[in-house]
Amino acid sequence: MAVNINTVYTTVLFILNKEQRGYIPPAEFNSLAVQVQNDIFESYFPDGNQVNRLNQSNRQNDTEFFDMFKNISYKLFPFEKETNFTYNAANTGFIYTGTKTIYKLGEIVAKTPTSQTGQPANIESVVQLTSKSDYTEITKSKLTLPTANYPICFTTQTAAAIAPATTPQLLIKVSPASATTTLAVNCLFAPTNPSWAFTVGTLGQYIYNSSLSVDFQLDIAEQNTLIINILKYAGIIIKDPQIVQAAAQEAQSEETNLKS
Amino acid sequence: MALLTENNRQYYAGAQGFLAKSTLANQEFTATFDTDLVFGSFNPLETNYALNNFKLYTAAAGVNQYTEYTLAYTVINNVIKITNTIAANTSVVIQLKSENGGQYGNKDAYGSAVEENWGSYSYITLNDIIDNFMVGYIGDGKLIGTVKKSDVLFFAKRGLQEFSYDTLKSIKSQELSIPPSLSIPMPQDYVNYVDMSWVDKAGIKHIIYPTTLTSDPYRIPLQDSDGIPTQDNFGSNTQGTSQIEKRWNDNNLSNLNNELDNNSFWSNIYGGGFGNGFGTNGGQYGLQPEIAQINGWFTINERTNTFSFSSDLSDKLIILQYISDGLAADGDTRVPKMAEEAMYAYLSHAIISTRANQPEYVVNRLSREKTAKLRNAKIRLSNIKLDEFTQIMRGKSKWIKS
Repeated sequence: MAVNINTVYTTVLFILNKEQRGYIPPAEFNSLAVQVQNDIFESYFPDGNQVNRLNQSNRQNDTEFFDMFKNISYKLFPFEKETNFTYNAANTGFIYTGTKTIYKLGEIVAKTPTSQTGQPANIESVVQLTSKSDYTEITKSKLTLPTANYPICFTTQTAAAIAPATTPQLLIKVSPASATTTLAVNCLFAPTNPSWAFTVGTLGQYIYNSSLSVDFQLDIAEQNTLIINILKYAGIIIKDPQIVQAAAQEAQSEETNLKS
Repeated sequence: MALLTENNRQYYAGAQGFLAKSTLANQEFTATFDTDLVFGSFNPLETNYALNNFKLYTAAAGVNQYTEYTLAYTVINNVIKITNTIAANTSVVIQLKSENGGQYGNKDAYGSAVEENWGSYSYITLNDIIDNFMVGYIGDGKLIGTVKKSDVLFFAKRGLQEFSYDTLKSIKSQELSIPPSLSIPMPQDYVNYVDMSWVDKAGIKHIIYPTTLTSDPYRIPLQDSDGIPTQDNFGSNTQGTSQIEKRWNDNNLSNLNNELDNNSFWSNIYGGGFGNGFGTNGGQYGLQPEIAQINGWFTINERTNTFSFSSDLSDKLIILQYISDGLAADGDTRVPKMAEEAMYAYLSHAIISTRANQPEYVVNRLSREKTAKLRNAKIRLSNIKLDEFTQIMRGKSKWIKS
């Protein structure tokens, strides 16, 4: 469940205004919201990597809700989606034709067509993502030569922009593949920018407009972190070291608790 | 979940039946055989029809008279979709091709799909081995945290090759006739021979041995009067016809192994001949066990990549048993379940031992594990049964007469 942007904004304003410290207008808040959401989103990857060391050394707990690695993995679900890539004959590879921004590629699954003469049933295989150099090496060996059961791929970019994109885009080259192969990729998409939209009231006040606002994509569990980190930046804006210090301490304490 | 997914009818008869639920076009019937349906064409008049590994039969409701269905249908992902309308309660049967032609229609679904599936439960495919290995042996908290699938594929195929050479059953064999040229080409997937025998009228095998009496030359350069090889217009040595092979082919082999011909040139020179030496005059060396047999010989001609046989085997029926590497055809890439664990151990050891910075005690442990499991697999696959062993050992008290 996403974090409601109005809840965050009103809480931030409430804390800031309590002692008449200052005020953050919506435009500034929106900038901070984007920044903080990206900060938190980016932190998942090093944090996940660090916490996963417990798994690697068999020190992770097996409880239902206190496995930190599982918890961090879970927080990525709002950004994770299996997406079909489309075969592009001109580039002999697969491209993403959606409008979102791909952040990372996860598991890639290729489905080989079934209607080839004399061939048996449909073959669905996990495609191994390699570097270009590995791709060449693997393709050269007869024992590891990619087959429908063991396809491999590498990423590059299209020779030219393919509309509606205006710049060359991500291209996945799969071997073996043809125009009839379908490619499903478990993608992580970059977060969409949150926005606290408003209308101006009769007294000139800002009135929250829920229909035009965009909530944070982060999981509801991040609401507290969002508020603290926005306060931290807000403290810098309003030049109040107390706010910065208090928020930074709180953020640090939360992070330490998470990773220990 | 049980590993058997076919019912008895699917396994033994290679048939699966359906009932059309309503009178509709484009009705779909999903085959659930272990064998994937291979589809070329529905039309017997088309060449690709022969690619099908099954036939489709229908029978009208309440009638037990099946006829082959040759109107339009498609097969995608083991789902047969019949384009035309078929009536409700029509019986539809998919019959995999079998050596006995199946039980439906004209009983002419001839092929080997059913027989190829029989006994398949004793094997596990290499694909399954790799998938199982990735699940059971790779991951956080395990000995191998992460590995590229192409590495596993490489080691699995290398493992299968090694296992094929000395652990797995040698099931490859060909029945051949020896032509007047006395040479037969090596099988397409040949790696090494196990044995070669000619078969008499009673079907009994008589082993043919390789010989060191002659050799097939690898190169036969033509020489000038000074003995210097001559070259063609492209700068390569010109090659002639082997006189050694001709002499061996023309040779009357009874001179070598027939005791009745002791006074021949051969026996005079070599004293007692090459054969068993019984009753020979002036035998100087006595019996040479390696050639004391009358079944004939073969040589491996590395120049022509053929087996060359001695002239007394001309027109003989032979059986060539050989080993391949298990990777020649998709159907071959399977491992007996008796050796499944040995394959996992092989993979673990291969992956860990080729990695940098692995503790040597772990590599050693895996090495010992691999060896022990391979030994187990060999014992299992050597198929020694106590009853059979006892029966053989009953001959131990026979008197050997001299």
